[in-house]
Amino acid sequence: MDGYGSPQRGFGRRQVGKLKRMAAWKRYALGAWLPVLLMAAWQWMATHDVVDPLFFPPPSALLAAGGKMLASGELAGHVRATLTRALGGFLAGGVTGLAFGLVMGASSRLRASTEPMLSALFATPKLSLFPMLLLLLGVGDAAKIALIALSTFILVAFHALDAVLNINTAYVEMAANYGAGHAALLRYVYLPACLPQVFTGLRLALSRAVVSAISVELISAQDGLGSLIWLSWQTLATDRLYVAVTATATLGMLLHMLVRRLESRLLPWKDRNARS
Amino acid sequence: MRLKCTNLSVRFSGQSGEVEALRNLSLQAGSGEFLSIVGPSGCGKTTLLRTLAGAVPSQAGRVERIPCPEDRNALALLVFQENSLFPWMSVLENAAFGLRMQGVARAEREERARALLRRFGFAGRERVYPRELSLGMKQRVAVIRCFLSNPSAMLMDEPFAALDYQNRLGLHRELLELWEQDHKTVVFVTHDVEEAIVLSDRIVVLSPQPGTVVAEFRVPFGRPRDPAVALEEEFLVLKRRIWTAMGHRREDSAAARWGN
Repeated sequence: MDGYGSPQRGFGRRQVGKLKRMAAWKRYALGAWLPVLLMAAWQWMATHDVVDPLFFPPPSALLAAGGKMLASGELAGHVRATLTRALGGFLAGGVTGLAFGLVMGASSRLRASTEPMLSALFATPKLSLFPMLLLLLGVGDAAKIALIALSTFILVAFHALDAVLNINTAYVEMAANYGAGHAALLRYVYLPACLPQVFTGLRLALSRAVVSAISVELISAQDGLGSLIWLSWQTLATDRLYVAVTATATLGMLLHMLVRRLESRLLPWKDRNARS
Repeated sequence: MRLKCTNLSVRFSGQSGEVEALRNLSLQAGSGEFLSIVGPSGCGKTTLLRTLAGAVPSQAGRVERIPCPEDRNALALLVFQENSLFPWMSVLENAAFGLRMQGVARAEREERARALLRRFGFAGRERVYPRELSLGMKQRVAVIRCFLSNPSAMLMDEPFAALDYQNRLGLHRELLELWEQDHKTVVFVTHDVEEAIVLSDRIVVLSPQPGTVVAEFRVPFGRPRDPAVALEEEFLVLKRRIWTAMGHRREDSAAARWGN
């Protein structure tokens, strides 16, 4: 009987394996020490007049301001507004992008006639299209959500397209050899083979959706974290400004971790050591 | 099932122009026969198997899969050398895939798959995914899946070529054990002459590209057969004859070639 492990494990793989086996508290501690150290340095510099506390209020002041904004429900309101826009755009763009990308992968004619345009769109900063969307959809939330949906759409569509094009035909042939018809091929081969890369696309698109929501709120919105940042900047309320930035970063991190969790739940067969 | 091809020619266009894989090839595998096909790399062995399975079109000649009364179905199943398992299915799901395609109910197919898996060392590892298996274990599952479907013929494409010696011996023994149950028709492609002799009833030697039949040998050892036949004098005699038919001579050794 032979061993179960794979024959070769490079140094890098061993390192990743180590990280996986590490106790949870240890992993969190390793992820936290650098930000904590930076905060401590900031605190010291702000209280010892190395930096101007008007521009860079110490973290202790930020904590106080953040606590106040949390207690009054102000922060939650902004987070809710941003999340609503981001998720709305993500859903609309994600669903259509996924469908479009899959169909594009299946039909070379559709691919040939849409890929150049999509690449052009991919390379364009989506924010530059915002004025046009405003003209089309008016100044309400519709234009903002459309912009977010557009960024999501392109990312998801490209990843879905790639996923279809990269399906290993050996698996298709194998299933067909066992008598799999069209429906069975779709269910047991095409779909599961596509899923990992589709998931990568969705994960990137979700982050992009939040980024787009914030950017568009910076330009034009009455609520949301982006508008909070911009308003705080204009009134030089630097403590509120940094609270908003921190909240944005935290939101992005939490969403990323959530999707990662979901991914390992739904794709247990994927080798996460070999990041492909 | 009898497998027969007559004057078969296969060409396909690769990246470097047209490739003639097989030329005017005729051979037959009788019902219940274990036939091995040996030949140098790139002699179209894989193409021949895939043509027999119906996965590759031929330009000339005929391929026939002739059913026999004892056949339960029309399956001629391929076993590949690599990517032989679906990475997104557990060992159990992979093993039971053929039964699933035949419409066998879940409880029954899992029970049958579990029974065979247990026999070949997978007890307690049925829920594991292929990425956690060694190559030898993967090929075991692939063979088990194939046998569970009870095909009328098995087309095996160098299934054990990438394994180390120990593993290969183990798998030869297991394959023979399974095959002895009902003597399915097998066409087994390999470049390993010893493997061919240990396993088969008859051996066909193909020429380098484009592949065509250059010689044919009957294996004199009885059944059921133990891989230890490889230690007998007669084995070596046969091996030498096949070796010669494949175009190797003793003078071909590196020492002789560099010597003059």
